[in-house]
Amino acid sequence: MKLGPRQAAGIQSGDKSPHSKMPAAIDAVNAVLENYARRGVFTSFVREGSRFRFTWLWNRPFELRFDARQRALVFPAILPKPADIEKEARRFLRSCAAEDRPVHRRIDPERMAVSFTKQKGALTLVCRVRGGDYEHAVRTAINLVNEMFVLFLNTEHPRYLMEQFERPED
Amino acid sequence: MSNASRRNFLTRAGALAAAGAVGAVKSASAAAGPERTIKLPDAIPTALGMPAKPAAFPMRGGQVFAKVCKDEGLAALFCCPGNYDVINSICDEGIPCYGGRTEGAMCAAADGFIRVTGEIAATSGTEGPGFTNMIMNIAAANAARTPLLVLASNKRISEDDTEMGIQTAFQQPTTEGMRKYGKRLIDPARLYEYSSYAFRALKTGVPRPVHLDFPGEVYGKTFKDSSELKFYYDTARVHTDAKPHPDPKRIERLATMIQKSQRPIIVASTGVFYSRAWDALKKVAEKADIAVVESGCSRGHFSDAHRLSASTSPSALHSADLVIFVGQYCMPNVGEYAFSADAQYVRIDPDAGDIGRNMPIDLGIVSCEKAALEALSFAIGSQRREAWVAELAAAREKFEGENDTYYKTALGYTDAIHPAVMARQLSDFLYRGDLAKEQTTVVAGGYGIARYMRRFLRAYRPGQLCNGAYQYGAIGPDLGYSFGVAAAVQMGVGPQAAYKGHPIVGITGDAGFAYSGMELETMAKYRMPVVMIVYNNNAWGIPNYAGKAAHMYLFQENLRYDKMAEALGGRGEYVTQPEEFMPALKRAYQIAAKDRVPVLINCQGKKEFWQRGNSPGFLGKTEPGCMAYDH
Ligand SMILES: Cc1ncc(C[n+]2csc(CCOP(=O)(O)OP(=O)(O)O)c2C)c(N)n1
Repeated sequence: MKLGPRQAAGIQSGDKSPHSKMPAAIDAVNAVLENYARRGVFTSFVREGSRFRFTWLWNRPFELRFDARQRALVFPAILPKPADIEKEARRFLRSCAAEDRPVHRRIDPERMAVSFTKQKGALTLVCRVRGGDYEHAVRTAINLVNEMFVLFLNTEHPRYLMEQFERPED
Repeated sequence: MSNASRRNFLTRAGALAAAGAVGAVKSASAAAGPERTIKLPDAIPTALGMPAKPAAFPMRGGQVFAKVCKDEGLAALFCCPGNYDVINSICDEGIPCYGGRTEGAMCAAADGFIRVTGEIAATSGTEGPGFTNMIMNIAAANAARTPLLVLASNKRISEDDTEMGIQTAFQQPTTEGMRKYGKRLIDPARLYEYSSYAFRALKTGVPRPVHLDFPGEVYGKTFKDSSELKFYYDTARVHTDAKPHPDPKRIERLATMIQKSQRPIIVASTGVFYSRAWDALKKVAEKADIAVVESGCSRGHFSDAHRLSASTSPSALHSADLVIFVGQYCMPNVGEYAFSADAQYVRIDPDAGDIGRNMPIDLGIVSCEKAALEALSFAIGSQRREAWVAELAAAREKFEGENDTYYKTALGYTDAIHPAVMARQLSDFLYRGDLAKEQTTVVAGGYGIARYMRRFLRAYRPGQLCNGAYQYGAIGPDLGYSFGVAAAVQMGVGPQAAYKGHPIVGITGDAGFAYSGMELETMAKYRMPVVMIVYNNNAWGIPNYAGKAAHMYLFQENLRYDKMAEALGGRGEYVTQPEEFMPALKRAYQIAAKDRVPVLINCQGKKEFWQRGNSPGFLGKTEPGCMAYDH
């Protein structure tokens, strides 16, 4: 989905009052996520205010919250109990913005900043949107999580997936 | 079977007869007293050298069925005694037959044979016990979509429910859910008719096993002449070799999608192999610079050496913006394949009813894979995608770099041989040494060991690689698969023709070895040149090695599977250190090639390699591509 010119202009206007522009932003987030559900990438989808819940990879539940104040897409506790893999997960995140990555997969720091925060022993992924292109931001964030699971964890940390995500052992 | 392949079989039988005359192997553990040697009895080469003896009316039911098999081109039978009328008659018709040690392993042998030839083969066992012994491997064949013909005798209809005598079993309910078609034959007059049902199911659409069970009233019935059989026609009258062709409008739509895509990829799976679509696939890929990644239980229908191959470029998969599944019968779910959330999906499949299952599709095309690819090769325009090709190459290099790191780290372990050492050195031997890289057909079985081997094994031509565990994930059929693959290569069936007679390599784990290890004797009996590599880590490969349950996961240590091979008429090598592997492999290959015997290389690993802190440890996988284990 593309934002209409009025909405896009509103977001990018530099207006500091969150209330005037955030409805447009959250609608944009909703539209992109809903489209994944419509395409069958998510097999279920529900919006509860600024919280989105959907069934996605390996038929598991995922959650994304839109933090309007911080202009952030947040995946709460996306990596539970990361002890063994925390360092590697942070390295993976850094690598997503590295110069040697193909440009179509590189996270552009001008448009989004990604980081993990640790809360209650789990890693929460925070994607701060810069510049106001929410459609691009949601797509980038979703693909970042996609790649984190289907490439990084699947290939490098199978035991972690077995223990934390009930992936079959054999 | 064609006359030509029958001649090959007889030539092979002649060679076997010669081998039998000089093939006595000294027992490794000869006790005091008169020395006994392992000996191939003359009766075996004599029997194998006998000409075919096709039946003529009056015929028994077993003979009638064998004639159908002959007419339909059944390529081989792998069985254990039982269902005697049927197996003896199939053998008399001149169809290559092999008798092994367990029905389960012979069922896997037929599956392995089919996976690397694309031809139909059968397995057979006796009534209840022989038939139920096959179950795990029928299920594995079903998951792999193998056109396997499962045959078994089954008491007499007149004795149903009585428990008269022994071996009563209701077979058809047992294979429900693991077959495409099944029938207990009841009316002898309909024997020919139902045989046609079986071969129609095996030869059309998406293949899976077909199970026929023969009560005594059917296999033992004597038919005076053809008037006693219904639908007794030429086989060309009872099915068609026509294939579904694609809707031209949909092919046009796909051509437009390809033209607009920046990074298209074809997932070339099982249906590409069974429809023998490899030339059409190559043409399509090359015309528009479309990447190709393989999936399925056999590999090589798109060479790993091709600049457009993505089978060893796992990190590039996530860049594809258009994914075209061709003949992907075993469908992954979202998250199982490493494609991006924004990729568009197209499925080309002969079964309309399956399109859209598990993965969302943007376009479905109902067609025989070969017909669709041929049509597509005309519909698409020439396109060059240098950036995409460069990305594939960079990803390939990155992958090889990771493999290199694993290898170097693994060389640091000197108290046992690490799987990365085995895998790397085996690949050096097969693809970068004296052998032509296309030559050796390999069965990549095992569990943890497979995670390493599949990273290093390559496929350069159709049917070069048979993935052991695939989808069903059964541990254990690997020696069965290896026997069937060896038989295919010795006869030079289908895509194995150019590699006829060469040794093959099989790989399994120590837990897996137990299920089919006796087939070393079958390999020795038929003089099959097989290099069988066993990764012996003293345990089931599930690292649950501490706590009260540990004893259930552990074996005695340093077991000598190599000596078992020697005791069964093969040869053995025991490798305990990294530097011993390559010389043992070379010796094993030479002996297998020269003496036509199986040689088992017992590689002494250790269970700790799979535990935390022992880098590189138990590996994960990215699918599709060379690492694939599930789909
Ligand atoms: C018939 C069967 N039994 C049990 C399992 C569960 N399982 C999967 S892998 C595995 C361990 C296999 O060990 P081994 O054959 O030694 O393989 P390695 O990891 O050493 O390569 C087990 C128990 C299975 N998949 N199939």
